[in-house]
Amino acid sequence: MNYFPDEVIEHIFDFIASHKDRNSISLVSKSWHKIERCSRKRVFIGNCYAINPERLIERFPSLKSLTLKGKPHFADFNLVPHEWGGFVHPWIVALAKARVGLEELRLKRMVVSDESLELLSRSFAGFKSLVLVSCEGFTTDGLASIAANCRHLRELDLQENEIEDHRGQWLNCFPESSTALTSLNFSCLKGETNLAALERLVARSPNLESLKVNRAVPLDALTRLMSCAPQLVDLGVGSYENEPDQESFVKLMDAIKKCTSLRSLSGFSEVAPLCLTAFYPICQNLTSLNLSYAAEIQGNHVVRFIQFCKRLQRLWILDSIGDKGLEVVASTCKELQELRVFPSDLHDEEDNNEASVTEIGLVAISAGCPKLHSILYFCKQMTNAALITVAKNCPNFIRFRLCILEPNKPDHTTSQSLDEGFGAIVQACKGLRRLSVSGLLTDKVFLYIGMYAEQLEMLSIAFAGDTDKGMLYVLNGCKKMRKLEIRDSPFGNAALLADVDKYRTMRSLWMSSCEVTLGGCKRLARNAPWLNVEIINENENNDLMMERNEEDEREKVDRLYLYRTVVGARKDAPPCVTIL
Amino acid sequence: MRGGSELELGKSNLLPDENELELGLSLGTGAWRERGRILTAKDFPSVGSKRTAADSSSHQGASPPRSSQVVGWPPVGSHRMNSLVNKQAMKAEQGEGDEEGKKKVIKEDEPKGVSVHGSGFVKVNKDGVGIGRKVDMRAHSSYENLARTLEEMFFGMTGTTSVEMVKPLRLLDGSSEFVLTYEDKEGDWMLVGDVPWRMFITSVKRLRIMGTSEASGLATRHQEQK
Repeated sequence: MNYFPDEVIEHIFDFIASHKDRNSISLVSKSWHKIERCSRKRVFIGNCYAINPERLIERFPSLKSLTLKGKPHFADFNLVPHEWGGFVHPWIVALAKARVGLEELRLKRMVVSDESLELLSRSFAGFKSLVLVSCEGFTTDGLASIAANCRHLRELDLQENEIEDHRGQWLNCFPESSTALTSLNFSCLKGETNLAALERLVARSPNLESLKVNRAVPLDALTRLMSCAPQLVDLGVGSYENEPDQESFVKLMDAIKKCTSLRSLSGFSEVAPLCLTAFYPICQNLTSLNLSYAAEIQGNHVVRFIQFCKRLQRLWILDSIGDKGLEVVASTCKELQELRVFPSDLHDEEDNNEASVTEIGLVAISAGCPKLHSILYFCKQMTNAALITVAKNCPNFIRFRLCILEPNKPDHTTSQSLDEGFGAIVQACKGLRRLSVSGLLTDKVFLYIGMYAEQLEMLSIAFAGDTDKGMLYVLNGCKKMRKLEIRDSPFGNAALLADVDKYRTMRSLWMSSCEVTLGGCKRLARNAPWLNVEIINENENNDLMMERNEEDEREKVDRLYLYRTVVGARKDAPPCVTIL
Repeated sequence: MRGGSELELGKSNLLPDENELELGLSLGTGAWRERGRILTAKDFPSVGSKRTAADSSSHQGASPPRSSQVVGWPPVGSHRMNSLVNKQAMKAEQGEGDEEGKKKVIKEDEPKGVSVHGSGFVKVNKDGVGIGRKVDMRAHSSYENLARTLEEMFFGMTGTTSVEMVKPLRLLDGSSEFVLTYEDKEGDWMLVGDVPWRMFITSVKRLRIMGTSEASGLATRHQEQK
């Protein structure tokens, strides 16, 4: 029973933007469900196989913005075969057929083809925004279609995709009449860029706020770009490993000085120290800085730069900054909210002591930055004492991801496990939503997580735990768990099967190199028809598999990925994937 | 066969008096424990043990699995990983006296193999050892680097249960009784080390640590191809 006409209710709903809230509204009553779904413009689908496009369109006919995610997270680390799935094409076909007024498409870890992009570009007259993150399967030809056909394109944002670069003239394909661009990011393209076309495009885009170029844009071109776009707020630069000459340096600095709106700086797949200094004039305005791709520049240059960035809220760097560098960050960046420290040396040189951060840096940051709420920290060693201190200093963590490079490494001062340290984190950080654990860990840490991590939605586990009890603590305790991903840990069928209904409340579960067997997975699939239980085997070993009895129920499953779905087993699974 | 793991069964059963080779977590007892297992959490030092990777050099047997040898570890996104590896590869090339590398920082014709996505892992087998390993080509920047990894992987693995040979393998300098060879894209077996590193990693399909006596025929064939 409504006290207001539908239009009024709809108008009120317009103010409610978050997906969670809108999902809640639709559960209140039939009438609210209808009003909500007919007026819903933005839909987020965390797993593209949980539903199909036809049902989506049926429920949300006014859809304007769609976000889709495909492969599971561990695909980022090459644990998922390329042909696994996550194809966007059927979605675009269905949306086009139903004449949905699509304006925005955001995809993550999906397979996109040139054909898909071509179809997309021709099917939606009002299309404004394409954001592709960690996708693959397309080339610059696909980008050319988007550029050429999307008359109202405002945003083209390509982050960390695998794009085959045909070095064609895709930038040339933006018509001269295209002046609406607000955001252009092609940093992940590997080939040469048509600089003239780029400069013309930027020059005729007065609303351009975000520009991220690829490494092939040289310094003089960058200077010209900045000169004709001083309104830029977000800039991603190319690769500048050679020191600029005096004249180039002066020109660059002059151009930078004019960019008074610049708040975010990234790119730098290589940067010579002198080149970095050209950006000093705008340091104090920066709220976001990403120097995590500049593997060659020495830590001290980076530190010197950061000393001027007093307003930083987000910082992504390499561990070459060292603990001392992090201490400088702690004393300089009092507004810091998010920090990511990536490893610079992947060769695991035990005798390489220079480039590294330890628990010292982490503690310093936690002490110096009161607003810190998200951290991703790769380090060589950690202690319980440090983690306990960090927990005390920063009870406001929402995301806490710690990766100790050597699997199973204990507290290096006590040789104990790190259960107590992580326990302190989950106990203190009552709002923790995402956690990644590492180092030597027993079942105890999962007892703590189950007990205290009440808001935890995503948990990543690797080389941890002793028995099924560990996983059970988590499944039983964390009521808000949505995504659980586990690798190389001794959890088996008992944990997997203990509470099948738990998986109704979760988006997905990943288990690789654990103790679950084929028999256990089959039993799960039988008891939960609303789950897709996928077993993934590497293709190249199929011939070996044939030699053995494939029906051996005791056979350990190498990779298990299960997720709830309302549309049953998908039809596009490759041979290496078996859906039970 | 467990995909994604590092070990595979070879054709020969070398330990008739050990437990039967099986695809489980442990492939036997005693000396094999340190080297023969599929890598899982149980492989790593347990609570209270002071054993660290640094201590491993004093152990007989292969070093504990290093961060770079475990599939998908450390959990660094492949895009970032490729970027780092490409840089290290280019740097190594420059180090090997390749002047071209310096000018062509932004190479137009980057061989596809260098910007690898997907598994950069190739199988490695040592003559006489039944269990093969896998090594991540993307995680290495030079021949020296690769040789060191392989030497550590197969340290002391002689394929016999008798006298343990503690001699280092020294795969590249021709002084030991083993040489490193590889199978290229065309299916030919070549000696490792003759071509520039970046060219090597785009064409290598498999690696084999071969006895020098067997390899001498190979060297001749290789020279003939030149």
